[in-house]
Amino acid sequence: MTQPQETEKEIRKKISALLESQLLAVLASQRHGQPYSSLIAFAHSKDLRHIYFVTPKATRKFINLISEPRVSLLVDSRSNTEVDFHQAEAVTIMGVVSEVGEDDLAACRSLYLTRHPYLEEFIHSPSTAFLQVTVRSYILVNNFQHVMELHMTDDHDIFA
Amino acid sequence: MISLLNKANSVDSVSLLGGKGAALARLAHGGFSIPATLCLHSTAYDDFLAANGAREKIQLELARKDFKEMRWEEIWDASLRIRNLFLNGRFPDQLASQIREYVERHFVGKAMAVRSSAPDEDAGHTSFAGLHESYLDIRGVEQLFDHIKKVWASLWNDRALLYRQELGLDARQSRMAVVIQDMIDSDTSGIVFSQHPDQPGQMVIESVYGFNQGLVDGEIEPDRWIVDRKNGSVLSLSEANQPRQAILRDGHGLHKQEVVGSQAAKPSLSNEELAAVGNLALDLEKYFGCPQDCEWTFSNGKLIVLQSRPVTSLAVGDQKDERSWYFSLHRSFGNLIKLQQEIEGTQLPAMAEEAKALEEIKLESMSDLELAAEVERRMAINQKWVDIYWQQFIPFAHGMRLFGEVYNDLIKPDEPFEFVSLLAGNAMLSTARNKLMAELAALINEDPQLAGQLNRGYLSAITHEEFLVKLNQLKRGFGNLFSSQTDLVDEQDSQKMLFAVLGQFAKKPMQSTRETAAQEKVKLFLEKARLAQLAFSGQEILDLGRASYRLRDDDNIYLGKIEQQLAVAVSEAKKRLDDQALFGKAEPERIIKALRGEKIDAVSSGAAKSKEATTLKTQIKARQLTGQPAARGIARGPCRLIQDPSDLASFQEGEILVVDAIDPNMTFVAPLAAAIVERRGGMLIHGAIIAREYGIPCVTGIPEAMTLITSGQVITVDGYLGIVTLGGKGDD
Repeated sequence: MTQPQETEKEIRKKISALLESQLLAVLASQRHGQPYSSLIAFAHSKDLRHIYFVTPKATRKFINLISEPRVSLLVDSRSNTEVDFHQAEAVTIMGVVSEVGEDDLAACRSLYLTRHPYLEEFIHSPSTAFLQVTVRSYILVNNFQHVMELHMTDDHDIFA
Repeated sequence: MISLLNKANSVDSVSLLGGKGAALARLAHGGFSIPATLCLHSTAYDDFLAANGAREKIQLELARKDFKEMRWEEIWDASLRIRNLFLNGRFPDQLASQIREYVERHFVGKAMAVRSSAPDEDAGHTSFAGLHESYLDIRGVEQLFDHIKKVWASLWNDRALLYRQELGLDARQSRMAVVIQDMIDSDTSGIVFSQHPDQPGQMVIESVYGFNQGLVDGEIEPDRWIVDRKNGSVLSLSEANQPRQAILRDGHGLHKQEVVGSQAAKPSLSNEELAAVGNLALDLEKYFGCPQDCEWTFSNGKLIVLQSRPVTSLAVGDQKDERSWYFSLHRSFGNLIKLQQEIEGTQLPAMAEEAKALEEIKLESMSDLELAAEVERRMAINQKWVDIYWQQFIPFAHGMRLFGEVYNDLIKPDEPFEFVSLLAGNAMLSTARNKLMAELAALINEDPQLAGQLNRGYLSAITHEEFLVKLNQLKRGFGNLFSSQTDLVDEQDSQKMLFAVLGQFAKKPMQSTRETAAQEKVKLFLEKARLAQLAFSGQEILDLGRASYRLRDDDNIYLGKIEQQLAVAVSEAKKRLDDQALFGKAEPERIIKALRGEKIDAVSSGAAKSKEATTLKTQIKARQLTGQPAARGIARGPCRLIQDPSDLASFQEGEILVVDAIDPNMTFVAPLAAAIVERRGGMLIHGAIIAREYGIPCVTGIPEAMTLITSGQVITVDGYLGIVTLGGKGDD
């Protein structure tokens, strides 16, 4: 049996390529069990451990995140045409949000600005929070229904 | 979207008319006589696809799996699904009325030829002519609609998909034009190469009486002239040994028959006609600017060009790669019938006899050298049957595909593999074996004493007569169920394994196979076939399909018995060799050497292989894997991976069977299984066949089945969509 198999390296490569190709992600937060989704501009660390985004503090999503830091993100390559059904890829990201600490802030901001140079003013504003999602797992969907998971910790329970 | 090709019409774009259509347009424009010809532009194909949402459906079908990983059978399955998509599609109203109008104006009451005209068909220096379909003797607009769909679908037939790279086939943009021609009466027809491919000073003319179809597809031997290009003198003539001709029988297609009477005594072309064909070829060469390969016909004394294309080297069929072998799998009805007689009448009985003769040989009394010779002899016998298997049995499997195509043409079912349900219900050896096992299990259930004896292993104490008779029947008929070719499980172990499996059978109420083919569907098919007036009766093609289906399963059981006899000899040899560690999994070649006292390498490749099977420890996990929906239904449960036939002994009732490639010698656990998952892909392979027989879901063609799924894991098998989900109800 020498059938090809997707290795961890290949899956990581596919996820990185997908994150690299997209500027925006859908962020799902919740309040009192009511899901709430928002569009965010994101950047990711090369090792796939973190996703970064910025939000004004007066938003519903920021308030949601304070009481429930567990989030899910969706990044996909859809073109909004019918070819998406065989061509588009999507990755669901499960993780926990926190504010980026002072020590890492400069490096993370510079990473973020490389992706979104037009947001310089926005991220330096005192009214925004610079947040990071510490990723627990990625769920990658391609070929319409082919689903692979990459876990960043030993706990493989998606809904923990 | 449709145009009549004539002198006045100057449209000759290849992208619009396809290769064949564009060449015909140029012929008409140049004043050459061609039959009345309509060309349905490739944009009509686009319209049809758009109206039926079919372009993305085709892409989804082709993106199901990486092409490199697809076996020929899976490619055939995909092309059958695509073909069905076309057959069930609707023509956009405007296009339909346009076609209707043209046909009523130019072809009323006439027989039509409907030919594919793909943009790349005759391009460049290689010819892919013959990859796509053409249909003859089509009458009336409704028949025409059906056949236009079939020609379009043939852009995606299995042959075209095999040559997709050379053809530049691309689901996003590939299109197909269709040429519709008047099938004019043909007195004599043929081909001409204006320049001999190997002799530049010569021309080749071939000719037959009647239509040229028999010549073009190689079934009718032509008269053949080699002519000097300069002065037209005949350099040689070889006449057909037994001249035959293709003639049109009103509405019944072409019929091939012997040429009789005065025609049989003389060549099919007179000197004047020969000269006219030669001159035509030179005119065509001048007009197109390169040597031409032209098809022509004399109709009521008038010479007419059917098509003309540059002389090319043939790309298909003369290649060394295995695709040309796949091509040979497409057999005609007549060829398949001959094959069936050969297999059922000669090969299977000979195979059974050979296995029986081998079984009677007393290996124990042989010397080591004699035994080495016997192992060698059995290897040769096994190889002989494996070769016959590939040359005859595998091609015969095309019988059910041919039936499937005929069924889909006539019935146009929503589910392209509905035809499989008509094939089932015949007595297959594997289901007969499984029935025998279920009966044995029932006896155990009924008789506590027998059950107790089996549980305690007091086998010699068993006196239950019916049980012993049936047990003997099972052993005689099917041999040792747990042996592989190089790894023989001894008689006692095998018996223990068998009783373990029977114990599982006993837990389950006796399960019968599905109803013999839905009688209603059979009736409808036979009726439609009768009305369609095919070249064979509906019953004949159904019988052929059923024989092909049955044999696909049975042949492996026969072959399995030969393999087992090789295993018996190898096992006897291993017993005589001391070092089990060295020879435990060794191939027969090494065993023979060892018996003969020859020096052998220290490491057996068999031992090396087993190391590869270690599972990968990684942070990745498969959640959902896609394959082919091979048998409908949905089931969830713990699965068991079968790495070796002896793993079957531990199979528990209600588990999901996960295998690399199931063969019929392994399918006795199918009645116990909740579902089947197979790495190897295909809708007509053993796993799919047996799953349909027992009405359990089956997904085939999951490349990672044996590496990403682990034994004991709970999985869900969706046989409607071809999806396997790993993990239980909520999640894990």
